Amino acid sequence: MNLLISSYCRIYSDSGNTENIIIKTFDNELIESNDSVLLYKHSEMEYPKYFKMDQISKFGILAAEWMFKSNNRRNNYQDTEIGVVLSSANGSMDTDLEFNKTIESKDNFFPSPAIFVYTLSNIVMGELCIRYKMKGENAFFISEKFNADLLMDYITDLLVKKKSEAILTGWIDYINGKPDVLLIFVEKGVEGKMNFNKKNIELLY
Amino acid sequence: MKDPIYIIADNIISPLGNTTQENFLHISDGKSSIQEYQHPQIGKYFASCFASDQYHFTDYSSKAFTPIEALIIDSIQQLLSQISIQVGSREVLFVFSTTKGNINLLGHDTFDKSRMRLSVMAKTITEYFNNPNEPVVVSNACISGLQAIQYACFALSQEKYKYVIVSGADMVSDFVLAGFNSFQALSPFPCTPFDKNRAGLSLGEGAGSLLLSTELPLAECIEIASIASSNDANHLSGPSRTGEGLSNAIHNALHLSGNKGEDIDLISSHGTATIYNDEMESLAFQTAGLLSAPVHSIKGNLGHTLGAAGLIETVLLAACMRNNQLLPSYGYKEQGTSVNLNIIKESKKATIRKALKTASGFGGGNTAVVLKKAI
Repeated sequence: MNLLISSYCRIYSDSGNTENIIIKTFDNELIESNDSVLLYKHSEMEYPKYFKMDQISKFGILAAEWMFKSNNRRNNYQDTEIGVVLSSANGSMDTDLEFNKTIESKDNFFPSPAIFVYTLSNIVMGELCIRYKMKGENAFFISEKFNADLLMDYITDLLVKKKSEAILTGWIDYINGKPDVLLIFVEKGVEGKMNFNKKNIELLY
Repeated sequence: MKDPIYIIADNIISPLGNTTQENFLHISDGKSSIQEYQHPQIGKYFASCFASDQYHFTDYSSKAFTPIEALIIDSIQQLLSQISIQVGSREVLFVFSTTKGNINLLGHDTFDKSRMRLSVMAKTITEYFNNPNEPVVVSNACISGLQAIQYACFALSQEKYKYVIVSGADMVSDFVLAGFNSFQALSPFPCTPFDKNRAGLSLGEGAGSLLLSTELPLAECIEIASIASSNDANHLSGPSRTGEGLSNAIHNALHLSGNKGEDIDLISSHGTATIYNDEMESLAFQTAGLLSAPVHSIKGNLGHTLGAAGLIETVLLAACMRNNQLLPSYGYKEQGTSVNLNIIKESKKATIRKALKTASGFGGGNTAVVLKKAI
């Protein structure tokens, strides 16, 4: 079966200037200030819920927004036909540390449910599923580094066995103020821009 | 699934016991390990926790392993005591499931903070067993355990491995306790799944492990017939009001193994005892045509063990099938969902050929697993 990448988005911290991040799609390469408000404005999305999210979820949504903007293939599928398979190194660690600040001190104990909900690694996947109404197969893996093999074989199996018709996959990590994101939309058929294989995934990362 | 996947060995370590059999017998006898505790800020709460002197985790005194790592190692050791396999071989893959792993290390300097990264925790355990493969870690809230089984089944179907060891654990930490308390999700009394007066969940700690393989063992055993997941795409911390996501997962799992709702002889539900979860599940079971099947939740006995729950409850479900026995749903008295379910009130004998395990979690995920008796 011919599996193809129809769109992707890569977001990472600019090694030359840590104030900046780089956003890449098949059509575009942008340098943007690492500022969640400016990033929201420049993405031109209208989704006020974004401002309630933790950092990793914001970058997940931003990447998906840029990815679908470059080639919106989402609407070619039913909600339940789209699977989501993601991976991360640190998961919710950035928000875990923030939540811990609210319970560290005995005299200043004010845990917030609005922060606690983001202390699970898969919450960014939940946000993506809500935003783009993706209701199919779900999986969230933690690995030391970006591991194309882990995603490749599992996704191929889901598509070949017809458990999903299209898959949003990739890597979403955020720690110490730095995003490290790669989202890929994988489909069966002929309309993709690039073959879905290990070499190409690693090239995009 | 093309090749059947068999449960070759299994284990549960909980405050009720250190083997599957001990846990099964205590739950069959109507015992619960949920007790009252005090927290300086939260006050009174109920949870199922290991007593400090009850269980001596492997090598914990050597400070080589954190409590959760030692707990997982012990649970895997129990698996390996049931069957002789070369655990250090390339043919064995480890798949781990946890939500918060070593979160207890926050604010403590006993161990390097890198151990809070779940991949580092996993590697620490596989190194103990001298296993050369990169361990796989699944962290998908309360469906983590079942998704670890789902990944294991996939890995075995690829014929790259002869055995997959799936193991998961979570501990009751101040972190998780404070979080669920802030959600007002903790029950003011030991949790009572599906009951009319239920008022929230009780947290629990424990580990569950399974050794899976495509090689048919000699003894009668349980097969994982099919497994499927879905997402509600509805709300992060609340289940869908209609149960659509869970019923989709159940429908797909039943379909994959060629079954219908009426083929299921026992359901091990997620049954957290929150108002919305149990109501949502009852609706999903109705949609999936499962209203006549006997249902239990084990949360009343062991609390909600988060990343371990799917594993512990699958192991108990397989034990029910082997023993031809329906375990009761502890804490249930009166119908508490708009749809009437066949909740099991007391332990009884029954023939169980096929059974269903479900889980739903924060982030909107659902997973359903069909087990069947291998003949």
